[in-house]
Amino acid sequence: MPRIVRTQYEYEGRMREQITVVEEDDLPRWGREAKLAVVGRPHPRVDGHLRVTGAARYTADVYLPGMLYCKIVRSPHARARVLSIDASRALALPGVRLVLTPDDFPEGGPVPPPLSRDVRFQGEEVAAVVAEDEETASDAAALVEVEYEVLPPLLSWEKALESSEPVATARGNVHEGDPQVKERGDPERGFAEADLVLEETYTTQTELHNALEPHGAVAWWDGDRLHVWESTQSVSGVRRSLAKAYGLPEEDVRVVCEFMGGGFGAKFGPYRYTHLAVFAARRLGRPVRLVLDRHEENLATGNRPATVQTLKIGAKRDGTLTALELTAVSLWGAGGQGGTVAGPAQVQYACPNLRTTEYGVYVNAGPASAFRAPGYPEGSFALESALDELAHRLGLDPIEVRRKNFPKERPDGRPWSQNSFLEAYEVGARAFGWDRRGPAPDPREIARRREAGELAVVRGLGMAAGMWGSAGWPPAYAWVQVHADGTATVTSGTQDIGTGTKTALALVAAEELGLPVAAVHMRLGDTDMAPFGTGSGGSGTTSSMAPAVRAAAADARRQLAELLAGYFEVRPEEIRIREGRVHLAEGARPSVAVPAGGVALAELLRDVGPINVVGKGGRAPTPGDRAAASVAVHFCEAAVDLETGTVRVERYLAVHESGRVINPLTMTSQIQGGILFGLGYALFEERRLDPRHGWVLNANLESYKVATHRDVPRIETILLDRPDDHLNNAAVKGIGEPPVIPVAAAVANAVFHATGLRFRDLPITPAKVLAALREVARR
Amino acid sequence: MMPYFTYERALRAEEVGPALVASGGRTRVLAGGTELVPLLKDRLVKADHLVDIRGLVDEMGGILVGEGGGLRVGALVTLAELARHPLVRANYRALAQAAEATASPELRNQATLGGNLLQLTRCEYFRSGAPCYLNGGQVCFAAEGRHERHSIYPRGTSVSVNPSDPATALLAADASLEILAPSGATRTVPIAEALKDPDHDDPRFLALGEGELIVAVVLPPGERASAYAKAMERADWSFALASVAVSLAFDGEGRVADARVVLGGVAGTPRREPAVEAALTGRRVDRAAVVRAAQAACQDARPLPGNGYKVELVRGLLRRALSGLASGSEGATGRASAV
Repeated sequence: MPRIVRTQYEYEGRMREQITVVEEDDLPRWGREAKLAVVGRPHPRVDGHLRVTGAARYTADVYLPGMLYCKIVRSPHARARVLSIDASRALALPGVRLVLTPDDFPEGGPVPPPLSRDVRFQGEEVAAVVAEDEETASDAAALVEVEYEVLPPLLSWEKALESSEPVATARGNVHEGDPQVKERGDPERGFAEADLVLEETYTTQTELHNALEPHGAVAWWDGDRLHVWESTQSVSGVRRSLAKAYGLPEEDVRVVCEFMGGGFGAKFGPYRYTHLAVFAARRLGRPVRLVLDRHEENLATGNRPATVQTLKIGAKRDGTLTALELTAVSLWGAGGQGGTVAGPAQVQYACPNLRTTEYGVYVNAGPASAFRAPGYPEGSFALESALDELAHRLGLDPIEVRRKNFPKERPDGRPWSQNSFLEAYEVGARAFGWDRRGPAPDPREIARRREAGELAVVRGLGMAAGMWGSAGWPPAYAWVQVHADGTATVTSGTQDIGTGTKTALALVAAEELGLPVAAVHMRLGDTDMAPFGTGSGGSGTTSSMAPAVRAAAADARRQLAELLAGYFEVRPEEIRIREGRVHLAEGARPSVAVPAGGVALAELLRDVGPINVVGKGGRAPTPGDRAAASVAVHFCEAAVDLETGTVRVERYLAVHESGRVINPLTMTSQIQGGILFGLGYALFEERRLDPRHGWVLNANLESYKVATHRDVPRIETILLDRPDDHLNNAAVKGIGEPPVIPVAAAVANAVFHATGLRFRDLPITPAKVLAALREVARR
Repeated sequence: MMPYFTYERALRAEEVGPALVASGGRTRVLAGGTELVPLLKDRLVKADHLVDIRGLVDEMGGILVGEGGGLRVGALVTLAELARHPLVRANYRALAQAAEATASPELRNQATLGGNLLQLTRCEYFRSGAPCYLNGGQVCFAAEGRHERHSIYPRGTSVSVNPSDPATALLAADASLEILAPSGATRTVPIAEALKDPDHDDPRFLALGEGELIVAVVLPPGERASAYAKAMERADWSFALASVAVSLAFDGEGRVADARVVLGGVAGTPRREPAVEAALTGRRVDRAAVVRAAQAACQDARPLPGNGYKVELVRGLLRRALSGLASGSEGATGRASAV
């Protein structure tokens, strides 16, 4: 029975509490002893053929009859005040239907104004044009004349901390006015007890999401009913927000995202472009489409904020940590929100004494947003580099130092449901050949031999570890309908953002129903006629939805068994369905004979006629008595070209434990994708700002460098399939975010091992490598 | 989003120049389009009318053996064709390597040699539409701002670098440009004379008159060993942080009889480096000579605060390119790839 509970769960490094409706199930958990036929076997994506043939309809593929096109006019200045907007030339262009300005959106209205008079970052929305076609909208946008009073932007975090004048947001320049401080034990005493204290500053760059599919929305008012196609990580979340904004019952808002080309944290919404499309569609009585281009994507849709982190570590001679102190400044842009940079330092190792101080600082640059493991790759780069430095200074193996500080419980006192770090270190070290790793060289010797023409390329091995706490959460509901043709449809108001959710949930339903995967249809990404499904964030989609889908499928299976029991005149418990065929339990005495191979369900139901089997299921709360840990241990072999300063990763091995493996194929894809992200972060990607004007200089894919095929090494993955059955009925944890977390540190540690040079500033570019070689040669 | 324009296909090369002159700058020439199309979309170049010259293969296509040796490479030859042509690979290895190191396979299949030489600066300020000197403004923002990829020989008003890989190799090969004037007259100019810094009046890196077309690139005959080495931030699809093209002629004893050493990505034009050439001439190319020659490079460079690393980079690239051409090695006879 559904009931209302108050429940806690971990989301992206922060504990959240909520009151929600949950449903319990009495299903036996899919623990280690469970024998499963479908789950755990590699299965290609159920919608793969639609994606590669172009049949999949993404938001940008939605063309409705009579649809108009909207284009946003964005500020070229990082800080300015809009003095006037003259739309007359734009309106005079044939085909232009509407120009929207901040006057159309009074403050205090139901919708936060999607156009600004006070510009706080380059690319902020100041006007919008609606026209009959995309080209006209684009031409007209260029004809809107905006007069600005250009103001000096605030770009440096030092000045933002000093200044009391609210520049980058109306609320001030520091998030909540103060840093977030967390403390345990007595850090000062811990440092006093240390044999070695290391203190270094690590800096990370602003990273842009660059999802393959841009942000966008198509809005259409069907009378008072609002339809919105949106590229979103949460169709149910967008529906809720739009209903609230426009004063509609949720049932009168339909949000659709059938297919998606990635979101990576920056696509929850609704966003300003959504509201512009919805507003213009209502004003003009026609559907309106607003899809951003790559340039807009890279100016105004979020980022992983740059950080400056000073990390102080105290340790005993044997590597035991005595104290950790982290002061982190995150540059959140104009009113954005980044993640928990201190997360890794707080939970990954057993350290009795700790202080973390985190500042979220606002500057006149594009607002930060969630980005695949918000805060963790940043924090991990500092922490995991520092542990490597510590191991080197103490003459210890980096893995030994990590083993030594393995946390037996989460620092909040909760034991882990399971924590596979020790196994992952061992398995990974063996598979990678970690024991061939010798000491790091003296960098002066490297520089000397380079200039003598004796040494052009050096290689090194590095490793790093990462952790993520995600086991899903309620509410998450699903319906499973079984059809008379022997197939079934899974329906939920969640979505597949490109990660393979449809495939994973189809496997879960097939397992529980006893149907082949091909007989399971997935209906996700449409809020109409669907129960609430979770948003895809925090690596929680599968672990939230799989238990609900499983419960719904089990409910449908019970109903089906009751139907079939009537047909055979046996008890429902005597009905077995495997691979779409009906069998009876041994000893059953049916009125209709069943052949040895069973009867095909489809054949049987054809005789019965229409059926009405609809199972429903919801997710139980995640128990709060134990903490979840998805673990990642990564190994990297890098070659450093001393002549060009180029770092090339030649081999990469990733060991992951995220509970039960549902589909090894899509899980491996997730890991490979995360590593690609991490390599870009470690070596190439950086939003470059002009230091005086705050202009984004590389809001394109020519100059903002993501990894290309030739930059990607052989990636080996080892999946530790360890069902974590305390957490949910499917025994699963999250895998979306963990693979990106340790990559930058693993690369930096390999570069250190190759050269003896420590890079504490990302990305590790040829310019930095060559400058370091030159400096060491001069010493 | 592409602004509106009209389009025609040119039927004869002689007609193109006069049409350009008559349009007063509002007509543009379209070849591979990999440069012009993005510039139009970004509204950095404005055009009412495009003349597509891709059909002019009789006059501007093909790679032909010239009279008395050498090659005549049509301006419409794509970088992919250039990179894989057996005679280019055999006799002008650095040029083949430079073409192959340019952009990505997709772009090389589309981009032409003439267009590559006429591309505008990759400076991020210019490309993002900042009101800079080359966009009609009065300032070079890069000099005071971000200039990691810019000149270490700043002069004039822009600190842009010539982004073309082939231009660097062509200067090392002592190539010439065959240019068709609107009058119908053809002139041949050494590329060393045609290369220029971009400026306010003409942001291009080549000195061409109004309505002039590059119809071909002429490579002189001669047995030389050459190599091109390029550094990028990533393994593919990037402009050079710096590059070097080296072209050597050896005497019968394996000593360098003549050296042409050119640096790319460090100045407004590809740059001959006489000090390095002198360090090589008359010597066998062994490790000591390579190290000495590399050290002679960039002695007169004046890096900006953010791009001093390019000096180290050029020296490293020289060691790499020269090592592949070491006396007695396969590279010195032109048979092996040096990079």
